[in-house]
Amino acid sequence: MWYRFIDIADWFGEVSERYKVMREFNKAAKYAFISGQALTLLQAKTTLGDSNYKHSFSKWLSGGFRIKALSGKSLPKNDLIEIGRIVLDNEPLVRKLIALGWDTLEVHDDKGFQGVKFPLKEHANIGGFLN
Amino acid sequence: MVQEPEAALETTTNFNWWLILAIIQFITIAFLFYRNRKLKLALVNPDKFDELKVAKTSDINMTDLMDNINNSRDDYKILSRKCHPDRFQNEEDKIKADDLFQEVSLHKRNHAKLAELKIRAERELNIKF
Repeated sequence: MWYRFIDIADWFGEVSERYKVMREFNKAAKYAFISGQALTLLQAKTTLGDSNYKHSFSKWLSGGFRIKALSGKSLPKNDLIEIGRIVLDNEPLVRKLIALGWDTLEVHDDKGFQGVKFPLKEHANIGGFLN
Repeated sequence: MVQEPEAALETTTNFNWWLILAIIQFITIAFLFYRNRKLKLALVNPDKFDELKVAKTSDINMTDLMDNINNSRDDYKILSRKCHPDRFQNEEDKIKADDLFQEVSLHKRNHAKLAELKIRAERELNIKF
């Protein structure tokens, strides 16, 4: 019976960890923009994701991790792809995103609906993590 | 004198059947979510459970990530141009530049590593940035 309470506590822990990841990303992006290091203000948010990229840990209706350009210089498609590649090169971050239920990495500009998306499970060397 | 009828002493219980139905539905949905989670965990390699826990709670340095996003491209462009082996006549310098160039290509999106390689290029090849 006690393990069920641990499971419930685990679930709440995951929810708070997801918010922590986004909060820290947004904080770092804000400081980089304010200090002049970044020409574009980026913001992370959760979206529906792509059902084709789902894996064992995917959260229902919140599997997308979107990095969106909020203001400043607009980002051409090459820059969007480059940002995605930089995130995917960070293996601890990708493992954390997968473990917390995200399955799709999306990078969007602030104009219109143009963006790129990557399946997290295919771009990480996670050696047998997922069956 | 008209006698008023006596009030009936029977008590009536009003069962809110809709509330009971809602509670049953809620319990059913919660049970299905719980079962779905258990099935998903069964798909995970059991040897990786500890790695899963560590991955969930690991600290990620977002400042480094922002540095990589904002600065790595310019650093890579400068380093790849200045450390290209074809720029050097001396064979010894060419070998060092080749080694450095491969490292730069390998870490093209890592700002911290590119900064180290910049220092190494200044020291080994006397390149001024």
